[in-house]
Amino acid sequence: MIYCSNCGTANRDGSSFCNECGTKLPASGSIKCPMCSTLNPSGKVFCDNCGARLVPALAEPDAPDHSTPLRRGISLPSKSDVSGSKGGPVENVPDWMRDASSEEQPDWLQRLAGNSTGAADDQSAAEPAASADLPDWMSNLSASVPAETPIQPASIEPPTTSTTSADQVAAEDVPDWMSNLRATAPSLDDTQPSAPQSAETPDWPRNLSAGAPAVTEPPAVRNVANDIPEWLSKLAGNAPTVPMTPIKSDLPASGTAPVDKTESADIPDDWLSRLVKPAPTVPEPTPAPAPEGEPPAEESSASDSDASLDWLTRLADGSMTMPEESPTDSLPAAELSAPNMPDWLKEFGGTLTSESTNTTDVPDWLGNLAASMPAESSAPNTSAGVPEGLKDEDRPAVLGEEPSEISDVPDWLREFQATGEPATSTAQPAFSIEEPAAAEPVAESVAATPDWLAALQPAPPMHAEEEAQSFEPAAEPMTETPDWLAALQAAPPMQAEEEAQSIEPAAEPMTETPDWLAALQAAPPMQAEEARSVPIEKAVEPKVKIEKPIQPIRIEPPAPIAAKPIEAAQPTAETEMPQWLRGMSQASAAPAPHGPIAPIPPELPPELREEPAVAADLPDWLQALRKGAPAGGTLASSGIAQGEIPEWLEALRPQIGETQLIDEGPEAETEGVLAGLAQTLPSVPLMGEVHGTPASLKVETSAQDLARAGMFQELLARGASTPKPVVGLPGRGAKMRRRVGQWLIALAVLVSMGIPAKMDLNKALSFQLLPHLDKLPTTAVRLAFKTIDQLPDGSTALVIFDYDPTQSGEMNPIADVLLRHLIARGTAVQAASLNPLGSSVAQAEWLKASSQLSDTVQFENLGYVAGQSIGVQQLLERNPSIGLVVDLAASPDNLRWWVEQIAASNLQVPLIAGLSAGAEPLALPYIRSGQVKGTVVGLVGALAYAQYTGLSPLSTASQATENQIHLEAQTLAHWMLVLIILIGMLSALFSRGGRRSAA
Amino acid sequence: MRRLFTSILPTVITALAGLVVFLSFLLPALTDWRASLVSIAVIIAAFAVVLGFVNLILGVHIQRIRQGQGAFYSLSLILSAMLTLGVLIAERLLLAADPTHPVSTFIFNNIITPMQSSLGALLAVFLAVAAFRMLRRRRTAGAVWFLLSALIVLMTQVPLPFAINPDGSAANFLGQLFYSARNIVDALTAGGMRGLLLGVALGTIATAFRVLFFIDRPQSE
Amino acid sequence: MSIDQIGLIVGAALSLIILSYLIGDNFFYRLFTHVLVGVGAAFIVVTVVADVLVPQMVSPLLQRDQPVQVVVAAAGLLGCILLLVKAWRPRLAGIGNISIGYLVGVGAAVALGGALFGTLSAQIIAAAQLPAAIGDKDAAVKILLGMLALAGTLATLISFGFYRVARGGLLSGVNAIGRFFLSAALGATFALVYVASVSLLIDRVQAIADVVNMLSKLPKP
Repeated sequence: MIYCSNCGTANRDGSSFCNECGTKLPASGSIKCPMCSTLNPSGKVFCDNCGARLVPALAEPDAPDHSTPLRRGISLPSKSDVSGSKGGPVENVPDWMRDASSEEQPDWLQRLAGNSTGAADDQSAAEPAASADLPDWMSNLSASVPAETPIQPASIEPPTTSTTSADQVAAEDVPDWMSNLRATAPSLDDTQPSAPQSAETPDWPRNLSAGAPAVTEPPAVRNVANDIPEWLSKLAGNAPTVPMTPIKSDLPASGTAPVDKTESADIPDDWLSRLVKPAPTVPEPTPAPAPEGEPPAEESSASDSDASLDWLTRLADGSMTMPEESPTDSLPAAELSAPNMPDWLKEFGGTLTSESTNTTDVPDWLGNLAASMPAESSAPNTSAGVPEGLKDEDRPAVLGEEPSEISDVPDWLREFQATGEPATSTAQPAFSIEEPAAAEPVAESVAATPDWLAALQPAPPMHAEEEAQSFEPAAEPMTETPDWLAALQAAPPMQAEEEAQSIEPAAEPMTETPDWLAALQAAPPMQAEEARSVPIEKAVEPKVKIEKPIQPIRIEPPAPIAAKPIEAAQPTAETEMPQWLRGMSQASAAPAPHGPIAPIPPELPPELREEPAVAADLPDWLQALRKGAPAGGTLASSGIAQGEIPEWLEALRPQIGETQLIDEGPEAETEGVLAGLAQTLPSVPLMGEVHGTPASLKVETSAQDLARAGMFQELLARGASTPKPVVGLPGRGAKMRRRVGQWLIALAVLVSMGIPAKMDLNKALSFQLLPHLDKLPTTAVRLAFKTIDQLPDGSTALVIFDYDPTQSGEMNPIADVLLRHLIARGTAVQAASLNPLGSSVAQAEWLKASSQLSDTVQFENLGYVAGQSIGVQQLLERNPSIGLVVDLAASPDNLRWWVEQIAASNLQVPLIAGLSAGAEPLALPYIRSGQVKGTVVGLVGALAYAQYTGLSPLSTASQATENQIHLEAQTLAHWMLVLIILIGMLSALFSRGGRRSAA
Repeated sequence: MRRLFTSILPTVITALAGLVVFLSFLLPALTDWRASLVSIAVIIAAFAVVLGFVNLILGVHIQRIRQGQGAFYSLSLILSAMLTLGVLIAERLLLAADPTHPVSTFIFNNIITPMQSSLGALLAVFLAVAAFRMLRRRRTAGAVWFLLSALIVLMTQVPLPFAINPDGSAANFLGQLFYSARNIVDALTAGGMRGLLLGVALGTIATAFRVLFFIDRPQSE
Repeated sequence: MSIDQIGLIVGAALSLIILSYLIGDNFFYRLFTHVLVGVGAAFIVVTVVADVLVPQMVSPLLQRDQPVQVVVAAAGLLGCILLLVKAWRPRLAGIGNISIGYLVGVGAAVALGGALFGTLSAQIIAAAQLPAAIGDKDAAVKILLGMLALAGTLATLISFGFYRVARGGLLSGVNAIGRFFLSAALGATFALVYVASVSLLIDRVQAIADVVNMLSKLPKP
C-alpha cells in the first residue's frame, strides 16, 4: 500500500496517484510483469512470479536515471465517479494500455511524452473541439499522437476526408496552439491527398512531413509551428538535419494521410527530424502537471533545432536502440508512408528495447505522455482534457466521417479508439492505454472531462470486442489524425531512418526517431493496418492509423499478446474511473468502428515497456499515466520514478488470457482499395498467429474423405514402427525348389515322349497299352472326309491357313492330310490366311503336300487377308464359286468368324475345320449345330484321317514309323500329365493334412 | 474444325459405313456396296498392321533404347527387323521373277518356324507345372471340377486300344466308363461353350449397336 | 552341306535356345526371342505389303478402272491418314480417327451380322433341337446329354455376367451351376491345349532329333 502524502489515503501498490485526492504518489518502483501483472521490485529483470522478462533485453537496467521522473503533471483521479469508463473501455483496453497503467512507464512512453509535446500541437488541431479544455501542452501531446496516424495512412487506406472535417470543427474550441497543431495534423498526412488544413499547418510540421517519412509527425509539427512552444520550434530547427524521407505519395488514401500530403510538400524541414539528428538532449520537460504550458514550452524549444531538447535529441540520436528495430516496423509503413514513420511508432512495434536508456532524460511529463501515447489513442485522450463535447457517445457515432461529431472528440483520441484493436495492442504493450495518464490530467478537472479522454475509453471496447474491425477503425483515424500525432510520427521516423533505410524509405526517418517514438510506432503499425480499410471517421483515428502501419512489422511478435481484451480490466476501471472516463468507456464500446483503444498486449516485449527513462522528466500526471504500464520495471532501472496507475486504467489493462482476441478475426476491409478483402495487409501476428483461416475456403468433405482422413490420422497416430520382416516371400530355397519341380516335370514329359522313340512299349509290356495307327478309331474324322469326298468335280476349295508357325507342329499334319485329300479329289485349292504368317505356311505346306503326289491341281495362294472377320467377308465375296471352305484354325475365333460370315452372307458353302486340339471345345457347338461339316482335330485326328483316307504318308515306312512314334509319344505325354495332376492332387491333400496336423 | 475431324466426322463415317454393311446382310441390293466397303476396310486394316510395326520399332523399342532399359535386346530386335526388312525388300525387288521367294522361305522355315514352334512347345511343360500346382493354390470345387474334366479328356483323347475298339465302340467296362465320361464331359463342354458363344454373340451385338448408333465411340478414344 | 541342311541346323539350334527356357531364363533366350520378334515383324510387314497393299491397292490404282480407282484411292487415303498421322504426327492423331472410325464401323457391322445370323440364331436353334431322333439306338442317352448341354448353355448364359445376381436367390444357384459347366468346359479346354502343345513339343523334339541324325550321318572330314 502506498499512503498519500497529502491526505494519507491508503492507495494500493503501484498507484501513481492518490485515489482520494489525486496527489501524485511516490513511485513504488515496482514493475508490473507484462505477463502475469505481478508487481516486481524495480530493478528486477525478471518477474518473480512467472519469470518473464521485465526489462527490455537491450535496455540497461542500471542505466543512470538522468531524468528523475518529475511527478508533476496532470494526474487524473484514479478514483472517479465516471461509471461510463467501466466495462466497455476496460474490456477493450489493449495490452499496451495495460502496460501503460503499470507504475513504470515504458521507454517509449517516455519518449512519446517527449515527442508528444511536440506532437501535442498537432493534436490540438486535430481535436479542436475536445482539446479546448485541454491544457496547451496536452493538446500538443494529442497533436503529436495524431502525427502517428499519418504513418498508418501510408499502409492503410485512409478515410481522410472525414477526419479533416472533424478536425476543423474541433479546432474551433481548441486553444490556439492546439488548433495549430490540429491544423498541422492534416499536414501529417502529407502523403494523403486531402490537405484542407494545410493552410493552417505550421511550418515546422510541414518540415517534418517533408523530411520525415510519411509519418504523421510532420503534421503535428506544422500545427505546432504556429503556436508551437519554443522547444518545439527548436526541435523543428533540428529537424532539417534529420534525414527525413519525404512522405511517399504512395501512401494509401488512408484518411489521415491524404491531408498531410498536400501540406507536406510545403513543409520546410521537419523539426522533428532535426531533433532526431542533433539528438538534442531533451531538457527535462517543463510540462508540469499543467497541461498547458509544459508541452508547448518544450515544443517551442524544439523549434530551435540547435537547442533542441536533450531528451529529444537523445531520442533522435542513435543512442536509441529503437532505430535498429524500427527498420522492421518501418517496413510496412515504408511501403505506405513508411518513410515518414516516426521511430516511436516503430518502437511500438516492439523495437523499443534500447530506448529505455535514452528515455532517462525525458521529462516526466513527456514520459507520461509517452506512456499514454503508446496507447496511442488512450494516452493522448487522457492526457488532454478531452472536450466535453467529445464524449464517448459521440465518438461511436461520429468517429471519423462526420465532422460534427468528431468535433467533440479530439481526433487523436478517436484514432486511439479506432486503433485500439489488435494491432496496437500487440505493439503497444509498452504503452498501457490503461494508464491513468490520460485520465489523470483530467482528474484535476474531472468535472470537465476532456472529450478526448472520453473518446479514449470508448475506443478500447472497440478493440476488445472487434479486433477484426480494428483495422477499419484505424484507417479512419489516420485520415483525421491530429497534428500532434502527426508530429509524433514525424519525429520517430527520424530515429527509425537508419534502420528503416535498409528496408524502405520510410524506415530512414525512423532511425533517428527517439526511442519513445519508436515505441509508439511499434504500436501504430497495427492501427494503421486497421485504418487502411476503415474510413477515417474521426480525427483521432488518424493517429491510430499511423501507428498501425508501423505495427504490422514490429508488432508481429507481440501481436499474440496484444489480443488480450481490455474487458477484464474494465470492471476495475469502472469503479475508479471518473464519470467522464466511464462515459468514455461506455461510449467507446459502441463506437467500435471509430478507434477502439488498441489493447496493449500484456506480453509485449519487455523492450517496449521499458521506456521508463523518459518518464523521469514527465509531468506527474503523465507519470501517473505511465504507472500502469508494465514497462515500469525499466523505469525503475532507469531511475525514473514510476507513478501509480489509476485503478480505472489498471482495470483497462488487458488480462493475459485475453490476448487471443486479436486472433479472432481477420475481417474484411470495408473501405478503400482493399475493401472486401481480408488479411491482405500484414497483420500484427505474422509470426505466431494463424490469422486468416480462410473460412470461405471451406471444402466440402464427403464421408469418404473423412474416412480417409481418419485412416490417415490413425496411421499417423501409430507412429513409426520397425517394419516387420516380410514373411512368405519365396526365398532362394523356395525358388530353387520351384525350379527343380519345374525341371522334374519337364523331364517327365520329355521322357514320356522320348520313350516311344527308343522302345516299343507294347512289345516290351506285351500289352496293347499304346494305340496303333492302323487301329485308330476314325469316327471323328469321317464326316470331314465325307464332306471332301463328296465335293463335285471341278469345285474349288478355299483352304484357310489360320495359324502361324507356332502351331505348325500340330496343324501342319492336319493341313497335310487335308490338302492331300483335296489334291487327290482333284479339287482346285485356293489358299488364304487371316494370319500374316499363314500365307507362308500355306505356301510351304502346299509345296510339301503337292510334292508328294503326282496329281496336279490348280493352286492359288491368295495370301494374307487383313481385317480378320472383314477379311473373311472379302474372301467370301471375291470367291463366290468356292465349293468348300477348309478352315485350318488354331484358334476357335477364326473358326467362329468363318462360321458366322458364311451364315451372314447366306452362303451355302460347306465348312470343315482342321482344328488344333485346343480349339475343339469352342468348335463343339458349331460342330453339333451342323454349321461345321466335319473336323480333324489335332495330331491324333490328322493321323486318324490319314489312316482313314489311305492317303497318308503311311506308304513310306519311315513316315509311318515316325507317325506311330508321334502317336505313342502323344499318348504317353497325355498319361504323364494325368499322373502329374494326380500327384499334384495328392500333394495338395498331403500338404493340407500337414497343415491340419500342425494346427 | 479440329473437332470436326477428330470426333464428328469419324462418328458419322462409322455409323454410315456400319449401317450400310449391316443392311447389306438384309438387303441383297447392297451387297456390292458391302464388297467395296469391305475392300476399303481391308486396305485400312493392312495399313494398321504396318502402323503396328512402326509403333513397335519407334514407339516401343526406340523408346527403350533411349531410356536404357533393355537397350541391348531392343537394339537386337531393331537390327534384326531392319536386316530382315532389307533382305526381304531386296528379294522382292531383285528376285521378283522367282515366285518361290527362296530367301523368304528360308527365313520362314529355318528361323521363324523353329523358334515360334519351340515357344509353343514350351507351353506343354508349363501347363503341366500349372496343373500340378493348381490344387495347391486353389482348393475350390471349381478347381476340382476343372482337373477332373481335364483328366477325363486326357485319358480319352487318344483311344486306348485296350478299352476302345477300332470302330469306336467300348471294348470293355473300362471303355464304357471312359466313353461315358468323355460324353458327359463333351456335353458339359458343349453346353458351356454354347452358352459362352451366345454370351459373346449377345455382347457383340450390343456393342455393335452401340457403336453404330453413336452410343459408343471407340474410334474417338 | 546344303542350304537346307544349314537351315535345319540353324532351326534346331534356335529351337534348343528357345527350349533352354525350360532350364531357366537366360540371355540367349531373351536375345533370340527379341530377334524373333524383329524378324517376324519385318516379315509380316513385307507380307502385308506384298499380299494386300500391292494387289489390292497399288495394282488397281495402276489399272484404268475409274470406279475401282476411286474406291481404292479412298482406301489408300484413309490408310495413309491412319499411318502417317498416327506414326509421324501424333498431334494430328485425332484425324486418324476417321480411318479408325471407318474400320470400327465396318467391323462392328460385320461382327453384328455374323453374331446375329451365324451364332445367335443358329445356336439357339441348335440348342433347342433334339440331339437325336426318337427311336435311335442311343436316343435316350443322347437326349439326356442334349438336355444336359441345354441346361449348361442356359446356366452359363445366365452366369455370363450381363446382370447382377443377388446372393441366395434362385439365380445365384443357377449361377453356381453355370460356373460348374464352365469349369468343366475350361478343364477340357485346358487338357486339349496341353494336347496341342504336346504335339508341338513332339514336333520340335523330332526336328532336333532329325538334325542330330543328319549331323551324325554327315561325312566326317
